[in-house]
Amino acid sequence: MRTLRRLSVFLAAVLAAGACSMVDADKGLSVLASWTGAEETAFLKVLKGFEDETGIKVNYTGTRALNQVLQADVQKGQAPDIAVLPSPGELANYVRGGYVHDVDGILGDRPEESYSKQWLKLLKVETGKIQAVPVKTDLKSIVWYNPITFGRLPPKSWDELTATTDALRARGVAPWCVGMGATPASGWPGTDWIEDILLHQSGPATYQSWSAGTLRWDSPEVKRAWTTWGGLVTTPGSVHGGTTAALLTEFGDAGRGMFTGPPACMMEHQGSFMLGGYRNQGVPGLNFAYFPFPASAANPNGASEVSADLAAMFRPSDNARRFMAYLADERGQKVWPSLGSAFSANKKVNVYADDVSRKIAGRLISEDPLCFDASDLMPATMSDAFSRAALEYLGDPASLDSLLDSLEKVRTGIDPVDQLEVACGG
Amino acid sequence: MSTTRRDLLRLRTALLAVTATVFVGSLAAFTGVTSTAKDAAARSAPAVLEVMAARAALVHADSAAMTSFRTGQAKLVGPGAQYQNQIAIASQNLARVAEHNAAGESASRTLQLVEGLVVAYGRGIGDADASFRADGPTPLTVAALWYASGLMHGRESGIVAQLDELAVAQRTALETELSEGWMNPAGSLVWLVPIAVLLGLLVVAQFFGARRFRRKLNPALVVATLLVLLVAGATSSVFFSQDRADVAGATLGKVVSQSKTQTDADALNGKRELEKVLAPHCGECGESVSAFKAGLGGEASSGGDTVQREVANGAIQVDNELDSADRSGFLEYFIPLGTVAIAALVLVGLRRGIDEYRYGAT
Repeated sequence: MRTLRRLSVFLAAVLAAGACSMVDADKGLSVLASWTGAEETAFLKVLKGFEDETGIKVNYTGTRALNQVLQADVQKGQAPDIAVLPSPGELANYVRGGYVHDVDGILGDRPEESYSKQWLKLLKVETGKIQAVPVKTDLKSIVWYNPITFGRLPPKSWDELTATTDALRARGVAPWCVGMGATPASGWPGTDWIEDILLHQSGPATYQSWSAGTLRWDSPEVKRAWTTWGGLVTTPGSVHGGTTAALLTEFGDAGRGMFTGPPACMMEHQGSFMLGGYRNQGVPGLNFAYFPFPASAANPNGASEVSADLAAMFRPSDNARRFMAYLADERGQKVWPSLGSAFSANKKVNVYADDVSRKIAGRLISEDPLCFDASDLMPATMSDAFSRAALEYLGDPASLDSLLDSLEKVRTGIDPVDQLEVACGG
Repeated sequence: MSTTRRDLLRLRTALLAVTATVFVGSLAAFTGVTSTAKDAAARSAPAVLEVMAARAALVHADSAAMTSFRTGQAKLVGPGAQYQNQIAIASQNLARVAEHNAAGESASRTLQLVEGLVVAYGRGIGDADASFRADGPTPLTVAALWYASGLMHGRESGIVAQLDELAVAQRTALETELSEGWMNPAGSLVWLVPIAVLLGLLVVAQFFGARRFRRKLNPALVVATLLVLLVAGATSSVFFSQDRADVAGATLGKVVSQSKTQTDADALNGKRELEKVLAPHCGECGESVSAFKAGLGGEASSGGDTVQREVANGAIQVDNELDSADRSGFLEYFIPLGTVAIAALVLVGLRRGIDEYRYGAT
């Protein structure tokens, strides 16, 4: 009799556990991100891997009004289980507000086997615990060129870069392809230039101080970065079509000039995400390749600028943690890169089909220092003003002092609590 | 109990049961169709029309702003009063889309995106205005107008493209509403079959009475049969309602298509104005401007007011057609009262026969 009773208790427990896991699977997960179109299709493949593995249904919403939608949902108390944020600055806002729940521990006992120490530091957003998972990452400190038409060795130092620019201009070829259009945030390609120049001219410490809002905009270092950019792109003949054309060209269109015959321009400073677009123009390594943004004495280790889309958990649950663990490890990280136009920060992912991609991925997972895109870390007001100033500078380089003065006024108006000091890892 | 009495009792039970089914089926079909027509008139159709009205107003605002900058009026009046008015109209339209949204959460997200883009667009025109007033038509003024135009007309991500997506979502919701459930002709079987069965049973009852009681006709059952026919006639107004709803759907499609064509022509007008603003600054303006210029074929129109008038007229027509699809009123009461009367007449018509066989006659 006692055995029978024990058996029935055991069976009841098994059934209850089964019912619970069914209920958990039935609950599903809501995921909010900004990806639509082809990017949505790619991300859905990542989600499908999780659904197939766990049976947990994922409801994905993709909207380019991510910030508005997420803010509204959070304020209504209806945040999604997971949201993918396009910048650490936005992530930090939600972390500070107490809306994001940390996912410390999802990478197991030895997280450094999957991510470099600096990525782990960056993902903690100054809190000591992992707050997010990088769904997709990009290397930004690179310059693209077409090896067939470039006709010289890629520059390795700043002097070589300047000499190359001058030589091409003297030949009557525009050295630089520049497109500042990027609705609704036109101007950010210019901010990437300033950030990269500052990082390489003045080093990671200065970069970090500037991105954290403690270095003045009218400081000699920052001003020098602007004038250096101006020296490269505002001299007549430097940019295909001139600076007005640069203002009126969409960032995605600018690089096409490298593939025309004869080429309309020779180099483009843009992130690794351009690889997807360039693939339509030719073969990686043959028709397009990149060289790293030249190192300098102030940045001898060649710290590089990176950006990342970061998934964060807004509603804690077992399902949400399982999802974050899946996203973080090799299973979730390899899906998108295997489609050919995205990169993972996970060291175990090795699915890249060509040398150009492998080289970019290698840099993203290496221990050499990485710094987050500074404008992604700045509060929105500062970042918007920065983009606007980049446009105005290109339109009228003589206005630099006035622009830096205005940017400085914006900086001093920002509450220091809203600034992030996390810019560089390593 | 005699077999005749038993048969009469069974017949009465069957008649009452089928009458009850007719009551439920006819009333459900009738109220289902009329309430769907009401909802479509009050919510789903206006949502589609408001999206198209917002689209027309925003495109007209853009066209007016570009004209103001091209002619130089912007130095004094900025993008102009027409621009301001149309933006205000569009924001009211969008607020009403939010109120009437019939296409669920995904459409709400698109609407949020559109509202955000409209704010960004307004900021872009504001930047151009500030720059133009300060320094005239500089490259920065032109760039600000270019970015604003990109926000409005961007191929997949612009405001107009998003509104098109929203209009498709709202129309799909409306079409689903007007073609499924009680609006589906197959749904009419729910009331048609019970009415046919009831008529059949009443005929059987008449034959039964004629054979067993040597009566030519049972007057109460004759009246009940006539009432069934009247209830059937009343309920068959759902066919009319379904037809009116179809017509309203077709009219709406026509209004949407006309509005889209005319708004696109107005949009082309705005883009050509922008091209003229760009011209003095662009000997060679790069890939994006070249692609933009290449896409300026077609017939332009500046008839933004005409488009809005036609959308408004179309809205009235659709509203009238959906109103006529809503046949509630007298019929709404007649169907239940009629079926209750049928039940009463069945009871009266069969009572005498049942009573006659109460004491065991066969």
